[in-house]
Amino acid sequence: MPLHIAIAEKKPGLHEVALTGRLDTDTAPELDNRLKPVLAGKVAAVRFDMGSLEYISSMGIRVLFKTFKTLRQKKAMFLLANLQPQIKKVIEIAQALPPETVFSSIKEADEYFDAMQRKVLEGDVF
Amino acid sequence: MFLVSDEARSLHIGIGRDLADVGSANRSLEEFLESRAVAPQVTFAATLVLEEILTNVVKYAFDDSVPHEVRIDADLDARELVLKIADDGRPFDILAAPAPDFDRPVECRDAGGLGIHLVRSLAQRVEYRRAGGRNVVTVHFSLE
Repeated sequence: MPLHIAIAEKKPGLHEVALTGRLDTDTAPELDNRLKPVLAGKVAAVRFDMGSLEYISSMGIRVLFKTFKTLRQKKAMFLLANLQPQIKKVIEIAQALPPETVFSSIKEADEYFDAMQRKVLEGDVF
Repeated sequence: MFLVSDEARSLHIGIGRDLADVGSANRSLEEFLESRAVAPQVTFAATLVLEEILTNVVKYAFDDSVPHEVRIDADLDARELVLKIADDGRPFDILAAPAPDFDRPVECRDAGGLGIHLVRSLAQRVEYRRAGGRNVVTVHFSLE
């Protein structure tokens, strides 16, 4: 199965990237290209919905890692949610993303985003 | 990519130096293992390991522009799956390659060495030898 990518701004500044299929050597460049306009614009967070992603290789992890680094430079959030067990295992082995960026559900990731946004408005962070 | 043979308990594939062949070889291995009722977690690990090794070979093993063949053999017995990948590229010992520097903070790291780290982590055992001008990597996965 190839990779299907759906990108939508779910809340102001919160961009959802929903991945379905395989993120591998063949498909990682496509995700990289699709993320460029999101990362170039005004962004408070990119939240990946990984629920339908069945496979990931190091090429896929590199795109996520690059996205994480770009967002960190922009003082924006990188959120990874809803990982299937085999994907979670590979992400954990790779140790390329901080564990605190991984959330068990979309709801949990969004609650974290909302809480951090409130802190930004109150001037507690950044 | 060409399928050399698909037998009851073994699969033999040859690919060239085209990155697109990596995906084709991977799908052939996945279909082979699924059709032999190999556990999904073993199939997942084996296809990921194959992709990482082949990607590395196709991207870095060859200094010239002449055609090359990378040979992949997968053999199943009751206890394990053995993958053997042989290429005639420059000598490269996968076991001697450095791991990512996990002591550095994530944001300060680069992604180098990640694929080989995944290979060594997901396989039960990895062996390397240089024989007849070829790199031969043998990877074992337990089926038990």
